[in-house]
Amino acid sequence: MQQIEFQHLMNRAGFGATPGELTAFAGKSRTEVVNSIFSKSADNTDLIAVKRSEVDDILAELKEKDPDTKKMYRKMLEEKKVDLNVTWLRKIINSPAQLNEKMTFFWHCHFACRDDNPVLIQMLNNDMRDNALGNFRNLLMAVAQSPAMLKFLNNQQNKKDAPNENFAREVMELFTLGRGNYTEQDIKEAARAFTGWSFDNETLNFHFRERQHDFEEKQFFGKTANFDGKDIIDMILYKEECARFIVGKIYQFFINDVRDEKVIEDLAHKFYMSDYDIGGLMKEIFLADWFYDKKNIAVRIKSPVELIVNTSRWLGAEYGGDEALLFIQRILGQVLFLPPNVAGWPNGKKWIDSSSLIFRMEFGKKLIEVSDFTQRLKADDDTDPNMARVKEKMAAKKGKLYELDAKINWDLVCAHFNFSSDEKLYNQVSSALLSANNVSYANENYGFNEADNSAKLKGLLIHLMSKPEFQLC
Amino acid sequence: MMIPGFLRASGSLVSTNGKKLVIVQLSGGNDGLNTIIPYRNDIYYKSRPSLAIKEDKVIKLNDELGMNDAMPAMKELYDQGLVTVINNVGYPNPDRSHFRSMDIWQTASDSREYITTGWIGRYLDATCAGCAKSINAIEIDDSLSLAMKGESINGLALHDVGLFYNMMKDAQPFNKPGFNSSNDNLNYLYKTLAETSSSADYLHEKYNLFRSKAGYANNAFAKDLKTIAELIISGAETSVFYTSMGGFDTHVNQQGAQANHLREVSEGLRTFVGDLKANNRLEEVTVFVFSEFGRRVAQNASNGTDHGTANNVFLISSHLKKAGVFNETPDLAQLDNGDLIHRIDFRQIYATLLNKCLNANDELILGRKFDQLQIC
Repeated sequence: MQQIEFQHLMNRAGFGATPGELTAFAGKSRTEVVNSIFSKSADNTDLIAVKRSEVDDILAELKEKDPDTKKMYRKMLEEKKVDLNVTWLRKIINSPAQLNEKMTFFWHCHFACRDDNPVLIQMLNNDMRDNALGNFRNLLMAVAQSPAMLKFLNNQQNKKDAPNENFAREVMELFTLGRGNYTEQDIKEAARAFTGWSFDNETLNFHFRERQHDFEEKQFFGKTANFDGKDIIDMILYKEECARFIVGKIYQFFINDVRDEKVIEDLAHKFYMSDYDIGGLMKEIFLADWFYDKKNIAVRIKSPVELIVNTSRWLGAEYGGDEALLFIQRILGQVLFLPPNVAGWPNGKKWIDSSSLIFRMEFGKKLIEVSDFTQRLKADDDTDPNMARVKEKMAAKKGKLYELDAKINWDLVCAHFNFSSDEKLYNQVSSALLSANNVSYANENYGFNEADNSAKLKGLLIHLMSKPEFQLC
Repeated sequence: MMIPGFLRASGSLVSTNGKKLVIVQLSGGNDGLNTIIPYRNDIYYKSRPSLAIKEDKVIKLNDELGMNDAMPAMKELYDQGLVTVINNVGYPNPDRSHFRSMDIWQTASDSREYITTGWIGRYLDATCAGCAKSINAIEIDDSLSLAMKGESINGLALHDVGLFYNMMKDAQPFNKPGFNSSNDNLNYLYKTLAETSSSADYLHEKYNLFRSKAGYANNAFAKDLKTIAELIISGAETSVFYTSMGGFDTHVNQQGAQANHLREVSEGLRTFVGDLKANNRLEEVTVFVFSEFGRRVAQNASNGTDHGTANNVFLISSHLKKAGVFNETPDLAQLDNGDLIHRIDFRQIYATLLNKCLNANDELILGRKFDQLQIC
């Protein structure tokens, strides 16, 4: 396997290859590398950032009437949400199970959900990571029956006397089939089948409220029977369109914004025939020759989370404060656990506009120089309580805005590179960082002014990370 | 022919139609009932025992409605015939979540529809396909709101022209105008960089032509308005400006906080309008002030109000069809689950602004026809 192929695989099956991984892979075959990625991801561990007992205490206190007490506990709840956010971000950066984190991140974007209770959100994240490379049928059931999603899509209000269609609609439109593969009548009937799907406030387990369920006959996808929610999900999965929809999204997320319908069709059929084996699908993709076609390499625009994780892993950066980690997610436009709506984040070119591009281009520099950001948060960020905390801290710094507080062991980073000549160093770092979009020293007008190795490398990285090429993976 | 820079900069030869829309977003859900107060309504006073503004404090507009006592500056503009208040603005199936409702306002979508482009972004798509620079819509902020993002063209976000110019100077070594490769996304990144760079040069050149001496207050909102006024007066060919002000999410101890914000908004806009007028630019400009929702009619137990639905919006312009209060007072006797019922879809206002103020195809941009209002 060539270095560019290895980098491509690591970019897509994870968040990019580190200089250390680049040194270590030499001589391995595609199959060996893919197998090793999968075996590392078998060691998936749960995300454990917030404790239920603590959050429950806070939620109980929030029912108090006194405004000041309320405010104090509100703040404590927000702290828990921040903990959850940065704990996951750090886990993505540091976990050896990179494919599982990447896959969980994909499902996080696919099954977009928000809730005020971080315990429920943490549960949903763990449902996703447990099934991330497993079976889509199990994943879909786990998500559809998780308290956070039942709440988010108003299924708590879906009762036989007053059906609420939100859950049924989004399950079909956004999670499984996409528009055009069902009728408005199908949504109405499916909503009736999902009546009574709820959860127990004590155990937080899924709970079927029989008295609220509509046991009458329903007509769904042309069939008539007394369907319940599980029947509906089975009937959705029975449609091959579901496999096509999921594979299409996976293709655009892991391979290329521009769809190759023939490849998608072929993958979807295999996915369907395997009864929705996600791990099998991903292995098929990463082993396929077409995956390594030039047209698929270094063409995807990194999402903000991908950019942060990729840069942090590459440099081995460790972060002190939580606020800066939140701040960069916000300014770049993607805060974990806060998708814009149930449709998730728009991807690709949608990440880029003048201001986001400029911020992205100076991100590496700020990280390496540990210098302040000059950007402000948006006016509506105070309705997002996570950001209220960031703002408060910023105000306390009296206009001195955020520094990333990143610790990087430069001796470690330097150890991977050859400093014997400027040209060698430039070419080696450029290809390690930019893979197929690297530019050679001979074609660049770059002069090294620094004397010692780590200063040289810092200057070069700031230069390369400022190039538009660094935005792609 | 080579035109000297200062001449090119002072002309407005390429201007679309000279009209400009300034959008002011009040983030957090401004309490419309304590902004424009139904001071003759018993239900209002009963629903808000400690929060209602007393009749003698209200700045009267007509027999039913008056402004919050923190808004004498707005009343001055109102008395000059420059303000229209539109009541009961909202949309069907209202969403009470900030982020969702703001998305609905910014994308002009239905309540159950998810759109990834904003209404001003689509205005840019429709009118600016051949524009070399991306200065047609500018948001005074560090990041770009969804409202300003189109399918293929985006607005430009900056909070300080000088700072923006300096940041672009740092990025300049990486700028390769005309860059072309087989990698479509890479081309897009270079194209965005080149456009941003030429926009920064253009704005910097323009901006240096005029410095406002009007007495803007020392707060972020006033400073943003000053930047907008300076760009307009210096002749920047920008047709839409966008600015936001936060702090309107008043669940707790609302009165003082909201009054301070309303005062900032009113005084800021008075200075802004005065500045434009003194420089003969008011004719070109329409200001539109909105919030993602109003608040519930009844106050809560913390001397505040919770998220509601329909709300009032403001238009400020020197050529209003109907200055004053545009339509009927909110009906507090007929509520939907404690909330006001909307009578005007906000997209009717967008359609009118797009069509009348920006000479654009509102139907194409909004995806369907909304009945326009006789407002401007």
